[in-house]
Amino acid sequence: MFELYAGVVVISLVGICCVVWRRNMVKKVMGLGIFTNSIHLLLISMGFRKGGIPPIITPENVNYFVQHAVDPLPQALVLTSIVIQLSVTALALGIVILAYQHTGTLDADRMNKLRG
Amino acid sequence: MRNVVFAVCLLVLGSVFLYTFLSPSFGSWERKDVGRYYLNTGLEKTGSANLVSSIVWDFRGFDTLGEETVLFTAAVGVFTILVFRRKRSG
Amino acid sequence: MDVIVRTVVKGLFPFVILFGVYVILHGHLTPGGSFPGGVIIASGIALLVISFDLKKAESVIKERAAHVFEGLAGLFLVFIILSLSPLRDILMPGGKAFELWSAQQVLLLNVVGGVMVSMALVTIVYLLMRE
Repeated sequence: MFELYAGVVVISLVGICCVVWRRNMVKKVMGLGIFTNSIHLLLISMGFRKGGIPPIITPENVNYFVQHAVDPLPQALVLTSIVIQLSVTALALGIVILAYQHTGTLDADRMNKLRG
Repeated sequence: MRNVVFAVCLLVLGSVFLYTFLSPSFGSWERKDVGRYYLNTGLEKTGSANLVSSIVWDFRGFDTLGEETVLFTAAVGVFTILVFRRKRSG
Repeated sequence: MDVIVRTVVKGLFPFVILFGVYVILHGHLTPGGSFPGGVIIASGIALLVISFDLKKAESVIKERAAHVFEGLAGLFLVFIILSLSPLRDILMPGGKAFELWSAQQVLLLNVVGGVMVSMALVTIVYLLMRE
């Protein structure tokens, strides 16, 4: 399981560096999405158990279901969090469009130097 | 100056991650009481074979209600930002 | 867009809507539910907006109608979740497990939530693609 946690740390660092070091406003919004998705991966992988099956009851696996199923609670919480990430991305893109209509540029460094 | 602040934030985030992953009982099956309760009593209390849907809509329905409010607020917020512009006064 | 893209999209669009409705309706038997099904329906309409212009997608569902449906579905959802238990027993289906007409409130809430999520996403797509 160590490779999974190292991958989560690397992907979250990529997301944060994308927000800080890119100049285009749309790419900053994409970096926010990458960071959020890596934290969702960490949350779901905390409910894992060895030899696990998904938490869906079918008529075939009623007998050995309780001893082998993975934890269903983090999956339900991540479902809520995905919809909240969608709302944040939609509002952030609306603000980017408004800033483009007001100043005429999408560059974050050039937007710092404009007056009025 | 911006790079110094960024390096300090990275150090804090890395130490938080390291503290979580190196704790002894991280991700072990003995600590999960609530998940085992949902697995045992999910089918006979709600009648749905998909346990994740029964958690989202039946056991923890108020969280889903709050999330639908957030989604509705996002749609109304985009409408207010892009379409509904007030004329400047004065 | 191209003639090939427009012909393929015009032929594939009903099957995308049908698949989205299937994922919403079988939310208590297979993985899925209201949120993935609503996203599938909204991405079918977004496909029409991208390959044709906005007027062709308006012939399927108008922007005003999507906004009204989203508000009504949200009101209905709040009314069902916050109501008392004997009032809920009138509206709910009852039956054996593993069937389509089975779960008590998960089936009804999946359908109402699917309408709300798909109409909210269609509204956001129409607003971001205006001139």
